[in-house]
Amino acid sequence: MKDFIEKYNIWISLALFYLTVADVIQSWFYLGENVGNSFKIKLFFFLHIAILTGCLIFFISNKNKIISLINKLKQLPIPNGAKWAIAIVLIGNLISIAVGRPSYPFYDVGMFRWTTHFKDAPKVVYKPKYFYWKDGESKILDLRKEGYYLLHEHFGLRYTHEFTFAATYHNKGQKENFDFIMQKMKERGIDTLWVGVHAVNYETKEVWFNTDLCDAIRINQTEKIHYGPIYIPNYQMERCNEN
Amino acid sequence: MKIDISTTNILARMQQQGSANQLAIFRILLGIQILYASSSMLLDLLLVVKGTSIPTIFPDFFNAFVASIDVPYLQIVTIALSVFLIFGLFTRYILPLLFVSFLLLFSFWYSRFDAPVQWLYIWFPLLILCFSRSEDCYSLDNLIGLSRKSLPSKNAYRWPIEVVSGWFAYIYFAAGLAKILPIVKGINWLDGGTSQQIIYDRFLDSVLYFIFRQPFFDYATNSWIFASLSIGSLIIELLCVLIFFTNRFNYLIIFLVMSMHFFLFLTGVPAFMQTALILSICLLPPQLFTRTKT
Repeated sequence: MKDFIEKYNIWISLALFYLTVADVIQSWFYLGENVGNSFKIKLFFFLHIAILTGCLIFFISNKNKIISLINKLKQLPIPNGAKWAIAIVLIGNLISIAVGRPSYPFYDVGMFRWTTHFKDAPKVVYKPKYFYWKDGESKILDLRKEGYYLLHEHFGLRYTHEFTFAATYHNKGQKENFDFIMQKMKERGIDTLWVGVHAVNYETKEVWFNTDLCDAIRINQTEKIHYGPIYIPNYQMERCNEN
Repeated sequence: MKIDISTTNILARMQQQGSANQLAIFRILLGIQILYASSSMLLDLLLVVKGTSIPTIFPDFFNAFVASIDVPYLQIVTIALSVFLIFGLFTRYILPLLFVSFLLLFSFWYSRFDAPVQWLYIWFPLLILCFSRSEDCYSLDNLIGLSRKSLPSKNAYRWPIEVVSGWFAYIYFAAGLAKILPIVKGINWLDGGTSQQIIYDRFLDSVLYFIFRQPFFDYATNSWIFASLSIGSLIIELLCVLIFFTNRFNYLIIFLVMSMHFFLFLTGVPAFMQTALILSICLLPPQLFTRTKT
């Protein structure tokens, strides 16, 4: 281990320096106005500054090793254009990771970085979904299912997971999203989509689908729904008001 | 087991002999993935909905220009060029064009669709292919004598493969870092709340539901299961840094990463297994592909 540290001390100190810088920057963003409020936070930043100072002193006293490392990288037997491309992308990504924010095409790969305090969640989860009637039976339009090659019922290969994600979550509250899906369903012989409520009770493991048009409108407005309420077409509102 | 990382690290591996077949297979699979991604109906949908909002390195007016005028054309161009890439026709000339059209098309994509981001797996490997000799095998260029006449250097087929394996390591290691940095927040992430929330919210949209029709247990409680899964996935992601030091554990890393993606695939986060599999080609030893030209 000692040999390893001695042999690769430049790489180790570069990594330590970078990770410490990243932690300082991201802590600064994360703590926001709380920065400097408590002794613990002050100690936290003091320790980070101490590590950074130590690394800088090490770099200065070993600058020859750093220069030789750069020369070694320059001499890699790969095309010069590739070297420049790798260097630019590396710098862009290192900045992105350090600040914890993406700037396309540089990316911090922080898709699931947020923290969630999952506590006291309701046992029943409601999910309004579009459905249609066929031969007297209600059929759920499970958009996410359409992205799987072996499971899809209506759409083809071009309706990728990204499409189903955008249509199911990001844009589900918009009329344009509904119109787009409706148009595709009309091309497949289904001319009316309604909104019903799919639900699961995690305590009893029961799953059900409620086709009551007015319940769907009410639940869509009153319950907490993943990515917010779904767009409900006017004809469903009118049908509900008639009743 | 003693590993001498001075001979197995990524810089050393980039100087070793590779396999023209491996590089060509990677080119073909990447081309198929680009064809598949750029044919997505998502692009048609994003032209009519508001989508999400996310910054890109391109100025807003440029993104607006791409969105308003060029997307349908860019989509067709990208699809056409990806077909050329798959067949290896005019490879040297189409690769830079494909790189530019892909970058612009997915800039529009990302400016309105913040996740999942499959372009991350593609754009840099595509850039690296621009400097490589990926057309030396399994290509029409080779068949009709359009590939380069000069003899390839010893590592000509290896360095692009190793750079892409480094990209694989970056993707997963950075994903792990993003979860634990800043450290003041990372400790909270390990309690599994994020994973539990996703699985709890998306159960009715998941393969597990489509197949089994009911939850296995109460997803609203049993937090320890989700904390264990989160810690497990974090360890897998951080382990990928080993790729920079040695290729001794590549099979294990492929198995662990694919297991993680398969689990996510079942629970409603399916989008990355395919792209991860394609990049995994570069983690395999070149000897597996060396029937000809090495």
